[in-house]
Amino acid sequence: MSNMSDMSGMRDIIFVYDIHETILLGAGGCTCNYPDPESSQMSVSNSLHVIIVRPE
Amino acid sequence: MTEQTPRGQRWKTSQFNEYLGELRENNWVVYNNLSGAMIEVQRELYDSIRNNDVGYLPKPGYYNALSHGKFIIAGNIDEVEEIKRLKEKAIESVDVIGLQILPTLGCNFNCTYCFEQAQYKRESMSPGVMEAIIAHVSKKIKPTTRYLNVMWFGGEPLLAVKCIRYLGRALPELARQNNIRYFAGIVTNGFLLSEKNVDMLLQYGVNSCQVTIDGPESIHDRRRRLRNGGKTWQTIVGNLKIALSKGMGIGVRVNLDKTNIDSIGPLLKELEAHGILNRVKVSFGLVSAFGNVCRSIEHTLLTLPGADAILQRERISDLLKKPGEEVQRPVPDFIGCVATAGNSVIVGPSGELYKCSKSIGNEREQCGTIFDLEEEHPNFKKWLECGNLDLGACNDCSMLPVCRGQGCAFKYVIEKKNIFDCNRSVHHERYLNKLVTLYKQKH
Repeated sequence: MSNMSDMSGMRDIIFVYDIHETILLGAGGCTCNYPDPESSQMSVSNSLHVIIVRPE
Repeated sequence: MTEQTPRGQRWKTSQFNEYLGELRENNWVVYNNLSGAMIEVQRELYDSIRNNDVGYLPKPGYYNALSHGKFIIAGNIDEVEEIKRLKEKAIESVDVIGLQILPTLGCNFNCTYCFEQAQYKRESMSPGVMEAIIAHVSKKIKPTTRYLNVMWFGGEPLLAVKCIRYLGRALPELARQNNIRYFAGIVTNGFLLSEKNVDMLLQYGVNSCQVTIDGPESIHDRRRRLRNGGKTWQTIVGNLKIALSKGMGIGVRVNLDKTNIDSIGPLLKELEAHGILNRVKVSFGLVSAFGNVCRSIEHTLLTLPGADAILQRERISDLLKKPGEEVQRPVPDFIGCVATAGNSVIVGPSGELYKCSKSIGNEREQCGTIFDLEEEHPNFKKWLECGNLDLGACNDCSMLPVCRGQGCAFKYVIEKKNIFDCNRSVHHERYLNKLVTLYKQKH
């Protein structure tokens, strides 16, 4: 957990999770899975791999 | 007295925030779906963010922190256009080369709902086609390419083991020479996932498998039989145990329709009894009718809300929870699948190309051959234009960055259906519950 208080000089905003790096998902597989927006990670069948790029 | 915003900048609240309420005493929690950041704040600040009353916050330092997490953004930014831009960037990206390789369209099964129309064809990929695949990948590699991702599909790919060996040597070596990471998976019916084949797959860089099991033994064996009518469940489950023991990543896929959805609970219990359930990732698909082959089964199909209701009633998600498993942070999705990724393609055994796996075997949907990839081919380009679609109601949704609710591109590219096939009220409530669990993991 990172604490932004050092940055802002206050403890009013506590970061439980800091930002993650922007993720681009490459695709070699098929997603045709049950559409479930709460689960944005694709299943094993979709050969998930992740490119991490720095947020702009 | 409040101070004006730093440098007179105008701010507004992000539409991608999720407001989780007071999760600990005096700690009110906000999550942003684009940045993945989650913050605890006091009630007053929480209300200011939620009410888009961020023009004059009491401390200048708030702007720094809140904009870092993208909870507030500059007033002139159009967040939806930003998402579209990220989608276009992802579609055009050459960072990933994706290949779905079908070494044969032949299959040893005769599943009741299979849409592929060429299971009887036993030919497998020739050396000429395989060399063309290698040449295609070689040509695609750019200085910025970082990943080569291969999915073995079919037909039943384990009927063409020679092809897996041949390309399984050449493609990782090509990746290695170009300092690219190589990933490979396989979709197999599991019947030929013998110990020998598992060893072979692992040797050639395939470390994840998807296998379909459509229910407890009696249900599965009615739907997924050998071509001679023989049963398959026992062999598949036995193979999975061996594959797991060798470190193969296994996903169990269940294709749902009215004839098996009520037996998912018993299936999961059977997998648990075999010591498999906690070691695999279970996912679901909805059997759907596309193509002439499927019309005869239309009366057995489920709607999404119908399937949702049954799975909720049966508390399937509770059965799938693994002890100690952490909830993962949602991940923004800008590409989708092989169909909508600009640098991905499906290669059939004769070198014919498709963009969507639902088009496999459909000659009218081919988009050239591996010998001469035509990226301007209409059957190629039309899938990439999905990123430019006006999403209508989805444009206003807080879950837009992480949602796959736009659904399968096949629906609007081929079937020309309305893409707003969303059960938002149900999904959003479950999503918020997941975020609350994510928060509690830290406390």
